[in-house]
Amino acid sequence: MTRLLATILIGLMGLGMAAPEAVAQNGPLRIEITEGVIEPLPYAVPDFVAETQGSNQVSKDISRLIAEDLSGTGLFREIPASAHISSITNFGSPVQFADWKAINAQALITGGVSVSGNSLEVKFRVWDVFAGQELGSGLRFKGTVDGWRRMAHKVADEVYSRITGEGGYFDSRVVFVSETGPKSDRKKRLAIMDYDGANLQYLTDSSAIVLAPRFSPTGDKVLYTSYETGFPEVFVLDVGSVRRNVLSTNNGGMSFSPRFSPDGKSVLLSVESGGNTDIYKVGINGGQRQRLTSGASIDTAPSFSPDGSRIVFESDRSGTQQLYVMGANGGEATRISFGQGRYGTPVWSPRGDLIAFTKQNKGRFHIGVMRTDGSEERLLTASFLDEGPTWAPNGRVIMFTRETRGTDGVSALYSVDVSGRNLKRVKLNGGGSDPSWSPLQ
Amino acid sequence: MHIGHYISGVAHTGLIGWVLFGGAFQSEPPPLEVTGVSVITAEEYQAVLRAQEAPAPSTDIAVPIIPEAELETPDLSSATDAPVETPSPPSTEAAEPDATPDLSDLTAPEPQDVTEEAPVLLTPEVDTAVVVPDVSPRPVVRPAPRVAPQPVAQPEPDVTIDDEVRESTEPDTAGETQEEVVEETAPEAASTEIATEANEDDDAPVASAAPTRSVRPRTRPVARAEPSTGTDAAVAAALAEAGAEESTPNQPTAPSGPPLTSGEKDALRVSVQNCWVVDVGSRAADVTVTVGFSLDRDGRVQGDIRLINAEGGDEAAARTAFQSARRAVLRCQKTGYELPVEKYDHWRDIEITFNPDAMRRR
Repeated sequence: MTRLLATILIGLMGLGMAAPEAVAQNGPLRIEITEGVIEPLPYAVPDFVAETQGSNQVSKDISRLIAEDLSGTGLFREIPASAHISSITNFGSPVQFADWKAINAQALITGGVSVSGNSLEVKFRVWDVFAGQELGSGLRFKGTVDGWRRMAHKVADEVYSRITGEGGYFDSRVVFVSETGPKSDRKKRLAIMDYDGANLQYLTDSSAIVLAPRFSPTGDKVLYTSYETGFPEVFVLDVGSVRRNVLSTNNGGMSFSPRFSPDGKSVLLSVESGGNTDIYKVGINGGQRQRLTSGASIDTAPSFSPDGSRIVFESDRSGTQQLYVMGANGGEATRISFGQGRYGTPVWSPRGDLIAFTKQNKGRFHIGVMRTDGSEERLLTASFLDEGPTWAPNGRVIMFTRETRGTDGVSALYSVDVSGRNLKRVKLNGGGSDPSWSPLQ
Repeated sequence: MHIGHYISGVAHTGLIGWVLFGGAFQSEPPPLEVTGVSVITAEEYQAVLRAQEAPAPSTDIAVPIIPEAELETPDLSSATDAPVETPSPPSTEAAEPDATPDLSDLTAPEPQDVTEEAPVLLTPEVDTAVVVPDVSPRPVVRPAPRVAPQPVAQPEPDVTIDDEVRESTEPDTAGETQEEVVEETAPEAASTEIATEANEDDDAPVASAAPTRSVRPRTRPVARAEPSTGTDAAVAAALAEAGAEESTPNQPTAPSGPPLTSGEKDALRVSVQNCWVVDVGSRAADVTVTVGFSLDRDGRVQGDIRLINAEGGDEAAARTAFQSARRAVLRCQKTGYELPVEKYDHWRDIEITFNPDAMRRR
């Protein structure tokens, strides 16, 4: 018995000593890393080279706006020009990577600007400094001097895309309800602006209450709800000509909360009739309405999935306000929200992987996201009143309304990264609510 | 010894007395340095100044007159030297010439026709018969110095499984293979008793099958010429040759020495992860990538960093995840990863898996 135990013991010792050797001595050294750092990626964008006389100022303006766009995402951090070792004086000159490595610039954007009359040309390159190679290839945009902001946004979108592998959202616009005046006598107008608050324009006057504008998939039309007839009605507004048409008659009920289908040919909306609210689908040019939900409950705030196959909406059919998903033509709905509190205003992400929502729990409002099956719920914000999320065209950022407490409370637009970071207020003169993000232009 | 002390004391006393009394009464005044001054008149002073003035440059330089040389023509006449008298050698008697050799027996070889065919070494049709002696004075096998109680079969060599999967090779049936002739060796001998050299009986005849003379090897058979197809065959042959040349030195060799400790591995992992920037909101955060690269002895990346595997996400997300991983490796190498040089064989080739799952779920 003792001999047997000794044999086993010696065998185990032999295995214990021999196994690591065998593993370590065969093949390359293998390591797994599961912890990284979450920090903005440092980059440098020296002022674009002014290649013609009179283009000095616009080249500086374009460079600064590109930096604002990139740094505004929270994913990038600009290395100031004062820290640069070398300068870019010729767009065609080779890049001295060592100089940019020395200041830890992981990405470098070089460009040139030329102006001829009213025409503006911008060209640029993006470099992976530590790899010592260009990301993608050089690109050139042509436009007018007046449209320099759009050109800068387009360059920033391209840079963002090349570094992150995802589409950008800088050359996009937001339609929202502009709010002015005290809370007791607040004037509301439809307004449109660039994503960063520039180029603000009003689409309607303040003679009637307007609610919940929604961009079409192509960005040329806006759906919204107006009380100008005394009842809430859904209108379709052409952004270019600012002409509008009534989408539906109320038929004795109220219609509201409209949203386009992904192909832009139909609209989902809610219709209240006899104390019961259901979801309908109607063609953009009118026609027969298709009822998608039924039952003695309030079903509203519908939103299509990007592929148009499913619809997420809110309903109180279970006794409290929760989120449900059903097919594009109605049918049985599946509840996806099971947390505490009430869920509303769901919006399907353009990526298709997440659903943003408003959550009210214990007297606080939150903007959150969850998987389309309701899993991995994450709350991104918390305040006295946060509501009405809308997705950036790349599905990376959410814009929403935040209203402060009290009679002097004001509504403002905020944006937050889908990771919950980089919460910031959108630059805007006056208040705003109900934002809707356009697709990339 | 006391005498020495006395002498020393008297001498010192005398010396001290001379210093005290001999030099004390000498009161010679210290020597004064006297400089003679003479009074001169103004004319004399001006004359002195003029003498110290630098000479003014002047171009009025007299040309030196070349004296006429009185050339005397040397006498170039020559006269013949008188002949040197040399001693005449003593007279010797003239030797008789050698007798002419008789060449009548030598005959020139007759010219033979040279054929164009190269000479061929004739191959014997059969092996040369060797007469094997019945006995040989040399011993065939030497008795083993150890006693093996029982004959034991040689154990099979250890089989190790290599990590790298290699494609099996097919035997080349096209060409003839020349197998090496391996001489059979005598089996390991074992005896039941210890036999030392002293016990050997050199005189005892031992039967041996050893040949008494070497047999010349057969000539190599002429290889049959393979039908070649010009360029293709040449390229194939070149590739085969290159492959054969490259395969030998690139055979993976198992690193020797102790492997990296867990602490050394952790240090490398921490170094890289400090530069791994994860964008948890991006699709790239759904991708786990494995990258491979090689380091030089200074711990710096050699060559390209290659993507070995990517799991999760689409192609664009995988590309972004790879770029992030590549940046992490390149950024944090700085002047080279700090790894023990003596274990270079263990960290020359590295594969790192970047898995962002845990970060994404926070």
